[in-house]
Amino acid sequence: MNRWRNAGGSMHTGLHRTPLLFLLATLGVVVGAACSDRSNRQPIAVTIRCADEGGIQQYVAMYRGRVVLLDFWATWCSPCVEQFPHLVKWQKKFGPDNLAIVTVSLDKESDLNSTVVPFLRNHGGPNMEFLLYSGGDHDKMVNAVNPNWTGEVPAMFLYDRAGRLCYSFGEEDKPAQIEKLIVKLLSPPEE
Amino acid sequence: MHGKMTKLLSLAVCLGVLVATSAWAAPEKQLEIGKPAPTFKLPGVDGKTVALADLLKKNKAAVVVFTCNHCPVAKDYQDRLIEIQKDYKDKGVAVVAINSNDAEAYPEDSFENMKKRAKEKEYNFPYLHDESQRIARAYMATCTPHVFLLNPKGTLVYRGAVDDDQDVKKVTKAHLRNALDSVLADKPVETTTTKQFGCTIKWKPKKEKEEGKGKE
Repeated sequence: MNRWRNAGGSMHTGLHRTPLLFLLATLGVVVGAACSDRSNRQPIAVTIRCADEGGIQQYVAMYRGRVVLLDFWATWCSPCVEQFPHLVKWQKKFGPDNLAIVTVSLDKESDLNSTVVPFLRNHGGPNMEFLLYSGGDHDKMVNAVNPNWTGEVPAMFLYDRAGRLCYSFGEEDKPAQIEKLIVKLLSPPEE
Repeated sequence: MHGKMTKLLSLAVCLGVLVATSAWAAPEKQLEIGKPAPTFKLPGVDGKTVALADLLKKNKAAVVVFTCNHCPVAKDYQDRLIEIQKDYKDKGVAVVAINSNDAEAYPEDSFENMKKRAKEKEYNFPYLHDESQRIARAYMATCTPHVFLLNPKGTLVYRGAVDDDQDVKKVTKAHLRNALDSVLADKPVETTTTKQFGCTIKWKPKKEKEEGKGKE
């Protein structure tokens, strides 16, 4: 599953419309020129896949056996953007064998190349899954994830290793609290 | 074997139920369909104060939209709201937009900038300032845009999103228009609630625990 390379030379960025089961497909559309990156971070190669509500659930299910953090965000959502470094940090800290991070952008597909890809190149991290919601029915998608979710972002959902939704987080929830609950779900139960 | 055991035990950690301490563990308290919507009287960008009661007296339906200047989703819906007001004005529908965002954190959403936006875009509906945020609290609005449709009695008949896609070219369900058509035809609204979509309302930093009642 190592689809990640440091994009030192060529920078492949792609939007995949392949059926979800062909997850290993790596062909993508090369878009745009590399954006200038003033930080010390090396921009990463980004693969973004389109997913509808069923597709999102399949990604969550695919990582069964790991704790899954499902993050809904958008480039226009400033609190989401502020939280993004925490996702990268958690992925690194807990490792891809323990924690899977599935991000779903709610940006418009027409904004993909202008805003989403440049953002993820510079602020995304390795081993994270980047999806873009393309189902075109926000109401249906929200209900499929958690019927109690009011629909706005930021919104994060934490699933245990059995794929059960345990915790939901909104704008008010602090990263420290979220991290605590990730740790809780990762810890073996007390004897 | 041990691994399997651990896995089994870990099922007990969560039980598939949202733990009460987390967000959206239970249905969020939202304004109830069929109940009277909170009234308001707020200053508009044109210098006139608008009272909901007056709008309801003169119209067959009122669309109350919480929106703002800065949010790209709200921006994408501006033209759609203008269109709706245009299409439904003669049928007796009043659209009213309310900005409740904290202008200190988001200067683009200040009253001065609201005036500019209304002028630039030639809003054909009042654009009101809810500086205290009491009306947004009373409506339990969470994001921009967040729509509330009231019948002439001031009863809430629809709340949620304007339609099902931020990209106007991809809209397949025009929720608000559908609801408006039902209200105007004196029929029950089919889809009374949808999930709202947009930027969160930018609340002022918590100071007092004052509960907005939204009374005139």
